[in-house]
Amino acid sequence: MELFALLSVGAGVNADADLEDVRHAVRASAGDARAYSWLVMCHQGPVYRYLVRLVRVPETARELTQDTFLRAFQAIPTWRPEARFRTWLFRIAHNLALDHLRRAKHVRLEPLEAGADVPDPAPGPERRLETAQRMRRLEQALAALAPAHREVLLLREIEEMSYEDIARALDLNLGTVRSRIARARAALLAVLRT
Amino acid sequence: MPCPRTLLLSACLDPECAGPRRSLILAHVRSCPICAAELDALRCLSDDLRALPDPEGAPEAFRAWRMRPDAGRRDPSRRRSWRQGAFWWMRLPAGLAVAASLAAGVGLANWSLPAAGSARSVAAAARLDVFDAVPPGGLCAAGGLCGTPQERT
Repeated sequence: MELFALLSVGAGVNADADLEDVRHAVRASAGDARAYSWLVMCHQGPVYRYLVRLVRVPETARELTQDTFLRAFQAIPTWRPEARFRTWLFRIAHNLALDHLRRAKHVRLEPLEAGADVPDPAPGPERRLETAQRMRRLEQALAALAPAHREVLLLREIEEMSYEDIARALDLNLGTVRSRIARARAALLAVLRT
Repeated sequence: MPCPRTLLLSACLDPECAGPRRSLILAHVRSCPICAAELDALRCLSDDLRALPDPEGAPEAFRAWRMRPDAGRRDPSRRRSWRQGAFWWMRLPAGLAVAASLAAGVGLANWSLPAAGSARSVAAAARLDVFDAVPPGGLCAAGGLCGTPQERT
């Protein structure tokens, strides 16, 4: 209990989801495989979502997702509750993706199936089609960004991470994160306008 | 190089930018149609990014993780067999009890073998009775030979 109280105050862990993460990560770091399974089930979707938009190849993203969780499983005894589990996990995923992108400079980029199945509460088919096209254009524009811009945008807009968490996940300072997000947004707008 | 205006407006979208700096930017936006349009475009972009559907083909990493033969293992150097454990000797009584019960079972089986053998020989003899001249349960080989004199007449 003291640990969780300390976490709530010291590390700013407020959300229930974060507390659940911490509880399970503490148990997993003590060797509880079921707790780790819970963490995998909760985070595999976001990690894959991030990786597939970063490396642009679904099969590679799937492998990297699996590698991320294997690395995390091996390293979880070294995890400390001062670090948010989600940020720590994304840092592993990010490093693996960077290694992959460095190794494979000529990666074949596959178009994502974005927009093919866009849920839209809009009433008419024209509106639905318009939304689907906008989403597809946005995915393409996102894919056209430099990886450094893409990763900060993905973490900020889609994973809804704070500047601080992005800085930890990408090993950057706060000022760099702020300016990089702004540049990435500007670059994305420029791509969409052309 | 993006316009410095865009950098300031982008920061304004995020909750990290608060206080007097944010108020200043928003005050400017209210009086500047160009910045207002730019901020609006950035807001739309942010909303669209958040509304992007999840890409298909999410992995079943959990299942694969469990199925990998080495997945559930820690560092092999940290694993110890039960012999190397500190309390291996506590398992000795249980082992001895199992060995004793097995020995008792074998002994009982050997002791009861003769009885089982005699039972088998009786059963075999009974089966051979069908070839006997005297039918099972009968007194004589032929019923007519043993009849009383009254019956013969």
